[in-house]
Amino acid sequence: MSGHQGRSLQDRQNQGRDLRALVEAANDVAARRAASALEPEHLLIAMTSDNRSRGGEFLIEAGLTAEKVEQMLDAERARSLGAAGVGTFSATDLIATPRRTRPKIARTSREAFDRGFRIGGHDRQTSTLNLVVGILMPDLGTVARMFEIAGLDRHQLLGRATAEVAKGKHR
Amino acid sequence: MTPTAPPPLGGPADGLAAVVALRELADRLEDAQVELALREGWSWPQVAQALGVTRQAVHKKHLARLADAGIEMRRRS
Repeated sequence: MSGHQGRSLQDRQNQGRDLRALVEAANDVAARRAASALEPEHLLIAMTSDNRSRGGEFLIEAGLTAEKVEQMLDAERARSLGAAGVGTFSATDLIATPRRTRPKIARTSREAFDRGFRIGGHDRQTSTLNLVVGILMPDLGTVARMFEIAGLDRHQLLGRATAEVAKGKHR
Repeated sequence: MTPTAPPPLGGPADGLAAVVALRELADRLEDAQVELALREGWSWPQVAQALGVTRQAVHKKHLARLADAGIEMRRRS
């Protein structure tokens, strides 16, 4: 029997709800940051905002709270702007009513879902933990830079997440 | 053969990340400064002129969120 057939319908419905709720929460993060697209870093912040999903639980246990991830993103943006000779703006210069339009899902986020989906093999259900793997995989880009600047070992975390997925410990 | 990935920090990686960060900053700054201008009594056409875009473009991008913010808006300059 395949893993897919072995898992209960209830499990798969719960995972679907996890992912939908996560994307909704990540949309709110992206809107609050006035981002025009929903990027993987917004998914990470949303996922670490509560530990009810498997991915959120895994990241928070590794010390990545939403506050920490947001600080990592701010540090990455500050360094990147600094590379262009732009200093950081005061928070008051950037206060704005959040956008009401739904940010489009960025290609980087779609690819993170695809990568997470692929490591699930023939099992077409992608859990939030699969998504963590998909987000942590790229060696370039914002998330890789966030980890590097924070001095955190992304490869080690990726290895642990991949091992968890392989064990099939899905919620 | 898979090419080795360049480091995520330094060199071109910093320059390319700066492009991403500048785009994001421009969006955030536009949202904040359009709102500030309207709160200070600027009209939509004035905001559009200052940004170098059409009134329709600035309306489309900002009207929905600012209508909810309770800002009293002037329609004409």
